[in-house]
Amino acid sequence: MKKVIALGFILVLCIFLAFFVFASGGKDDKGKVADKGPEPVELVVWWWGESEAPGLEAWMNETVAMFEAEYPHIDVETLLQAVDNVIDDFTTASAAGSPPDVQFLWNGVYHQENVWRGYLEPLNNLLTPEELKHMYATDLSIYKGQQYRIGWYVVPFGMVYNRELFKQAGLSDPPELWEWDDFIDACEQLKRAGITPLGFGFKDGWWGEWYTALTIYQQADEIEDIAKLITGENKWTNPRWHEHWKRAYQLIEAGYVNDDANSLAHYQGIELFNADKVAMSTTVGSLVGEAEKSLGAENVGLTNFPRFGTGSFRDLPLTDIQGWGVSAQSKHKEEATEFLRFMHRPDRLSAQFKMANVFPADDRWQGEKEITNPNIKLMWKWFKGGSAVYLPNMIPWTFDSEVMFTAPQFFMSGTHTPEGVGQLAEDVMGRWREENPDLYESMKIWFNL
Amino acid sequence: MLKYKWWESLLFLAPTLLVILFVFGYPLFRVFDFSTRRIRGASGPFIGLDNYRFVLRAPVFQLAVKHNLFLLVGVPIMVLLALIIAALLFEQLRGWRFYRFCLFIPYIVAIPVIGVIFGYMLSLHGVINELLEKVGLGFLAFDWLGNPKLSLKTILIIVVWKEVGFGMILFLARLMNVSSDLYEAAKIDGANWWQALWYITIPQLRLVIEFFAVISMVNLIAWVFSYVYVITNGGPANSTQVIELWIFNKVSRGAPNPGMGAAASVLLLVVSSVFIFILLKLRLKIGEE
Repeated sequence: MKKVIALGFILVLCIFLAFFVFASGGKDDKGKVADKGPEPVELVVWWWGESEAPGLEAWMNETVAMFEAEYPHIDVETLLQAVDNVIDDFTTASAAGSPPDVQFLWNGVYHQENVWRGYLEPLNNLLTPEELKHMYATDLSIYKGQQYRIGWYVVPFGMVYNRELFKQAGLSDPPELWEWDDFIDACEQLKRAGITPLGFGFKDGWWGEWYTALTIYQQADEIEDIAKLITGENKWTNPRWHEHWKRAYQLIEAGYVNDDANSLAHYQGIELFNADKVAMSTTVGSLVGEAEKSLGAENVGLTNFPRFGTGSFRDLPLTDIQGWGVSAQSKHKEEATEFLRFMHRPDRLSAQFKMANVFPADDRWQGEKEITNPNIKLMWKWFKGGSAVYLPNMIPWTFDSEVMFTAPQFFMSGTHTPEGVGQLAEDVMGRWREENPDLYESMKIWFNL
Repeated sequence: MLKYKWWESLLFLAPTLLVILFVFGYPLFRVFDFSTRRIRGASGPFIGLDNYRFVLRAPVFQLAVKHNLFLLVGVPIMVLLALIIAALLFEQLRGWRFYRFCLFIPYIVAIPVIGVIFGYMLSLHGVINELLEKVGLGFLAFDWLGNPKLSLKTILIIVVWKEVGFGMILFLARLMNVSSDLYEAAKIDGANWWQALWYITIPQLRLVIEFFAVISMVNLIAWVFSYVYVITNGGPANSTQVIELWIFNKVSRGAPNPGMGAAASVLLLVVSSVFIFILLKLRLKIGEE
């Protein structure tokens, strides 16, 4: 019996010895790999933009392939997000401790809430002030003096019109800054000629946000005016701050908007223009090319959204900037920063414009040399001449879903007046302040109020 | 006879109970916990019952509750339709198996597919309205989904169209087990089809009808989200807003207030639990019979 126990003991000892030898051998091997080059890194990138600027996915795939070829130890895993997931997937993943390293970010409050929760890394820690200046975002990406987002591409807004349909109605090309009354006259003339003047889609609500963005700043003298609407110092019930809804109501009431707007989504409304069914629609730079392909470049004219405001921003065109940020929890911040820099390399900036028809958000890109299309050139001129900020980016999401999205639907259905929507807006903001006192305080710091 | 101590059976049940506690109990606890906090990320400060107060005063939530209650109108409609169809199919008319197949198909088609197809078909310039205009019924061509006065009713029709197949199969399966003697005796006594339906079919199906009614109620209160999300997304003008979509919009899509979403979920859970309790009681009764 004793012999059996001794034999067993020796056997167990041998197994342990063998394990330690192999284990230490493994370590040596790893050490040798480490000596050969940097540790392999998996860089996770979540992004959105293909639906706004078709061609970005191809650009992203090409950029990732080139980046991986230049940095063989970095494997970039990209995920194209759905529009409904852009805002909260990063927040949820950060709360769960597994966010991507690099995240696409909409402007303003959409990423600021993540800043206040500590989920985004200040980019001042990663990029030089010079680089941050080149890769411009907007002031809405700054909180307590730190910048949390760099720009990716510029979204210039405007209104496309169908020259052929305008001719049929006896109308000439409108000016770049179109006064509201002249615009209404044109709508009336088109309607009389049997042409639907405007093609919009209200079903998913996004047109309501675009419309607010295109109009509310016309009433503002400074950005603080809008900030005060959120803090309650300015009132939505004041006619000045719901004038833009009066104008939307006017368009719908007069029958200038397609009659099925409530059952069409925003981009379906834009499609009506491309299908030659309406004379005008709102647009962004990346979608102008689609319209020209469908209707012929010579047939598509471009102007700013009509002016009615009395504020000092009234005559400015509107642009927004989409961008990128780095997760505060990322273990690969250096690699993430390299990827951001790579996307802003001159060849990548040019490719971005060629492949997706968007202006790269980088002042090293010289648009005047690369843009040949007259409509896009016009938008570039507007952008370079200075433009207004997309102000709904300052307003909490609840306001989007409960007011901006629904206002045109209310008007189309005849359930609310513009004054009624003004009151609704005031109520929604009041409730939001009570329900989110912490976010309200952060907003005040963000707005420097 | 073997005698077991009371705790021995518990010991055998323990592994399963632990799994159930982990899978259902923990998330449930977290939802209750969330409902009492101002959630920022994964947690947040305790604010008592404030979220419940915020939920109950929210006008869009109140509207959503009204809409869910309105959708309950669909329960008797579904029961009645399923009952009549099942009774007709039970007659084994020529080709009844084909009809049964056709009527059951909508039930197995995925809701997003139905949503997208109906979304296109029922738009103002969609196929349905074009057809109506072509056959001279243009006066019936409405904006089914774009008009707030019609949109919820349209959703209800779609839900009924899809779910009635399930009821039909349930009823038919039960009818197949009813003794044919009952019908033969009724025939000899001179009962017509309606009398046979009223005095034999319905009493024989009573428990299955109750079961289907409860399932449909739970469906229309707690599972109607997918229809609304895909077809109208709660619009136009909040006319198809339902409780689940409201919760989804609070916890997702910008996560404006997950705490309020959790509080509404707890309220919905309480209401659904009442229905589920009734369902369990019915099941027990069916088992006893």
